Amino acid sequence: MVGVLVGIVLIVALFSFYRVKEGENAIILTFGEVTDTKVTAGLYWHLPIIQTVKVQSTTEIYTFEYGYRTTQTGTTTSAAQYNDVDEEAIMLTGDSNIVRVEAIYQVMVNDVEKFFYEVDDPFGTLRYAFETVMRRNIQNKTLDVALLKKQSIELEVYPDFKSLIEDVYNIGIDIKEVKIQNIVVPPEVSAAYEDVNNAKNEQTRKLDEGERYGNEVVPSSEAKAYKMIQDAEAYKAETIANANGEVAVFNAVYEKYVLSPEITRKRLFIETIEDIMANADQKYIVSSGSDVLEFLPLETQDTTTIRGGDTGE
Amino acid sequence: MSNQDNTINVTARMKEQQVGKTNKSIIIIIIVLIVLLIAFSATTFTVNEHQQTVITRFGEIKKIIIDPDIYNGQNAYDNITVVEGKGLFFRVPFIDKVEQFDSWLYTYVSDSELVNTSDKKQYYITMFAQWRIADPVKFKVTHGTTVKASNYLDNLIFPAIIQNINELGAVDFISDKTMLNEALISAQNSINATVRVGGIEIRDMQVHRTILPTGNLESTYERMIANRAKEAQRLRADGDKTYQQMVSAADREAREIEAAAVEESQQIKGAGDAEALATYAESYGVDSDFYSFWRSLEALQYSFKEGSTLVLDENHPLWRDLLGWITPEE
Repeated sequence: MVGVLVGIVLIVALFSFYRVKEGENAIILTFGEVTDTKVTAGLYWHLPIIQTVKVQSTTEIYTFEYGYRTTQTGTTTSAAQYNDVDEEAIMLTGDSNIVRVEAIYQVMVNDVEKFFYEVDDPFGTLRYAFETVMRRNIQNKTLDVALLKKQSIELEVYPDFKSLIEDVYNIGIDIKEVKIQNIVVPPEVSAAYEDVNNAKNEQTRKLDEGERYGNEVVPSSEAKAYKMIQDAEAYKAETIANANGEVAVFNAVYEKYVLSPEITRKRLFIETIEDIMANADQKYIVSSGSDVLEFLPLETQDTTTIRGGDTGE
Repeated sequence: MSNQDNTINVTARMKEQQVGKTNKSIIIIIIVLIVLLIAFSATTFTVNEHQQTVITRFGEIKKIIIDPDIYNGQNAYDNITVVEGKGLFFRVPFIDKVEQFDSWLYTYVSDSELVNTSDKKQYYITMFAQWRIADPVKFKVTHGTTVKASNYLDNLIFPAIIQNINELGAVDFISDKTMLNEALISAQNSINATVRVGGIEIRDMQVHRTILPTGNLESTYERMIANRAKEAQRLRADGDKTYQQMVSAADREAREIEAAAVEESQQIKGAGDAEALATYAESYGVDSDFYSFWRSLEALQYSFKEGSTLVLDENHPLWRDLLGWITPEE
C-alpha cells in the first residue's frame, strides 16, 4: 500500500519534468503568479499541482496577411490560392481616390510574460493596429504616390507600426517586417487605367511615326537638292563648253578671214545661202519690177510661175 | 502435522491482522489528506497573473488584491484593505466571497458607423479601443460584468469620437495623422473622465478603418474613371500634336533644303553663263564687225529649217552678182 503511494508520487514527480527547447521561453506560475522564467533550453522540473508551466517560442515568425488570405498554400504541383478580403484591402487615398492594398507583416514574440498577460488577444490587437497604421499611411498619400511609391510607404508603415506595438501597447511582440505586396486600383476602374497605358503607347507610336515621316521627307528633299545642284553644275559645264566650242569655231574661221577678208566674207555668205536653199522646199525669186522670173526647179517637181498681179496662166 | 498447521495458521492470522492495521492507517492518512485538501482549498484562493480580486463578506467589500502597475483607485477606501500582489491568498471559508476580474487590456471593437466631417463629407469608420479595469471596486459596483461594461463603452465611445471628428475637416481627418491623433486623444481624455467613475480606463483608441459610403464609392470610381479618361485623351492629343509638329518641322526642313539647292544651282548656272559670256566677249571682241556678220549667217542658217519656203528679191545681192555674170552688159 505504501509502495503504491510512493509509486503514485514518483509517477507524478516524473511527469512534472518539462523541456524547454531551443528558441523557446517558459514561464513558471506558482499559484497563478509568475515566479520564474526559463530562457535557456534544457530539462526542468516543476512542483506538481502548485506550479504550472507555459512555453512559448520566441524565435518562430508569425506571418499575418492583410487584404487577402491564403486559402490553400502552394505545393510542388499546384499554385497557392488566395481570397481577397475587400473590407481590408479597399482604402481611401488623400485625394479621395480608392486603392487596393495587400500586405503582410511578420512578428515574433520577444517577451513571453507580456505576450500572455498584457492584453486579452495580442494577435487581434496586432491586426487592428496594423490596419490603423496602414490606412493612415495610405490616406496621407495621393493616388499616384500610393500606386508608385510602394517601397517608401513600407518604410513609413514599418516604424509607425513598430512603435505602436512595442512602445504604446507593449504586448511582448516584436515587429520584424512589413511588406506591401501590392497597391493597385480597384477592378472597377482598372479598364480606364489600362486605357491610359494604351494612350501612352499610342503617343509613343505617334512620335515614331513623326520621326519616320521626317526620315522619309528630308532625305528625299536632300536627294532633290543634290540633283538640282548636279544639274546646275552640268549646265554650267555645258554652257562653258559650248562657249568654248563656238569660240573655237569662230576663232578658226576668223583666222582664215583675216587672211582674205573680202573673199571669206563672200564665201561664207554663199555657203550659208547654199545650205538654206538646199533645205528650203519652195523657193521664189521675186522681181521688184512687173515680171516674175521663173527659177529653175532644182528639186521640187511642181514649180509655179507667179507673175506680179496676174495669177494663173 | 496439526501442530505445524496451527503454527502456520497463527502466523497467517497475525499477518492478516498486521495488514489490516496498516490498511486502516493508510485509509486514515488518505482521509486526513482529503480533509486537509478541502480545508486548504476552502481557506485559500489564487490570483492569476492577469487577475485582480475583490473579496466581499456578507455583501460588503472587505479586501481587494490589485496590481500596482494598473491600479487607479486614487483615493483608498476607508473600510477596504488594499493588497498588492498575485498568487496564493487566504480567506475565511464560506464567509469570504472571492470575485476575480481581469487586469489585462480588453479590446473593444466598434461596428461601422457613419460620421460627418466639418465640411459635410461622410465616412464610415470602424474603431477599436483598449481598455481595462483600473479599479475593481468601482467596476464591480458600477458594471459588475465585462459584457455590461462593453455595452456601456459602446454607447459612450462613439458619440465622443464622432463629436471630435465633426470638428475636423475631411482632409485633416483623412490625411493628417497628427490632427486625427489629437482628436482621438482628446476624445480619449473626455471618455476617461467619464468612465473612471466606473473603474474603467481607456488606454488607447484608434480609428482603424475609414471608408466611403457605398454611394460615394460608386461616384468615386466614376470620378477616377473620368480622370483617367481625361489623361488618356490628353496623351492622345499630345501624341497628335507632337506628330503634327514633327511633320511640319520635317516639311520645313525639306523645303529649306530645296530652296537652298535652288539658290545654289542658280548661282552655279549664273557662274557658268558668266564664264561663257566672258569667253565669247574675249574672242568676239577682236573683230566685232566680222562677228556680227558671222553671227548673222549663223542666225540665218538656224532660222531656215528643212521644208521652209524661201522667197528672194531679184535685187538681192546674191542674184545681182549672179545675174550680173550671166548678162554682163544690158
